Amino acid sequence: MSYLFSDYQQTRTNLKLLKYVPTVAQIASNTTWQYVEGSRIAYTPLSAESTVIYEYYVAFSYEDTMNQADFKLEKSATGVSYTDYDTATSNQPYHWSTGTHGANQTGALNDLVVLKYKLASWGTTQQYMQISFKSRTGRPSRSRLHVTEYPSNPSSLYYYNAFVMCYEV
Amino acid sequence: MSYLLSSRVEEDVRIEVESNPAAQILSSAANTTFTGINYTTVRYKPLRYIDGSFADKVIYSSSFLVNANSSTNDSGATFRLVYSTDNGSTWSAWGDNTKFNFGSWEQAQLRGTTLDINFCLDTTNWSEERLLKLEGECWGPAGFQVQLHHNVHFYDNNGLVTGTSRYLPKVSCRSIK
Repeated sequence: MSYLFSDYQQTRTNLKLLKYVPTVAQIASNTTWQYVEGSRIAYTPLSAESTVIYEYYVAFSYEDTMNQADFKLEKSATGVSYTDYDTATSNQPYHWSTGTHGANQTGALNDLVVLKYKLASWGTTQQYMQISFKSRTGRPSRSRLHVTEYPSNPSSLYYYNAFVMCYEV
Repeated sequence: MSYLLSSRVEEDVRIEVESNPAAQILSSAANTTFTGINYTTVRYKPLRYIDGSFADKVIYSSSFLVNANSSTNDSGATFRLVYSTDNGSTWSAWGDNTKFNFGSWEQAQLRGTTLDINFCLDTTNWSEERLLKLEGECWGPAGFQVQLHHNVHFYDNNGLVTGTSRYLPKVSCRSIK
């Protein structure tokens, strides 16, 4: 006799969670995309028919007096070389940005942010996923991840444990 | 026979929503030491399994409204997770990077947003029931205030809505094996 669910399709299954404990902040480059530490996960769906949810939780702060950053989802079959998650759409459904831009070139944001993506199953093979980020070119607006800052003198940095999870529904 | 294969699962989800929250104000003058954030308290212990083991992680989540409530520019607060093992008589900081700052500084006032807080908690040495909640302290120029749960600025077709225009605070915990 089974006491398990008779209607199983609305349950999160095959959940994988990875926690990242930072020891240094990660500063966004103004010129190149950079892997976001703690966002990488290798995931294998159990079903080719299910939907995969990717979630990433991270602290967002500032290195300069403003902070703007762009984020995007990437994938890899081997975990070595990553590409945009969906080249057919120029990856636009997997872009996200945050931060501040003040008229006087000041005004920065501390925040805890969550990125969530609903992905069509790619079959039952393993796939790697990660987030990359970059600050705006030519602006004093570099962002910083994994810490928030108390802006007094002297300032205090507080680390936040990022975590990434995937599951099927 | 097992139907769970080797999958990690997420179970014992507890969600609490306060349907009629009072506004709570943190002031840079009065709340420069940590004070409890209303409606973020949850009673929880990691889910125990039939083999005697406990969940590996617990995700603590809370969502509530934060507004700047003054004309000063800097606006923000520091929050931290605390817990009690004696039904709320004494509270201790959770530690493990569960303290953070939220808001803006230098001529960027935060008018209003929902703050979604998520902590991935280790369950080592946590097998008993605990109360968990958030505490906050306000930082900014003298007189600066942060108002929680009630909107400071919400306009409908007739203008500013006064009274109890609000966002209902939520708190949840769930176990992950």
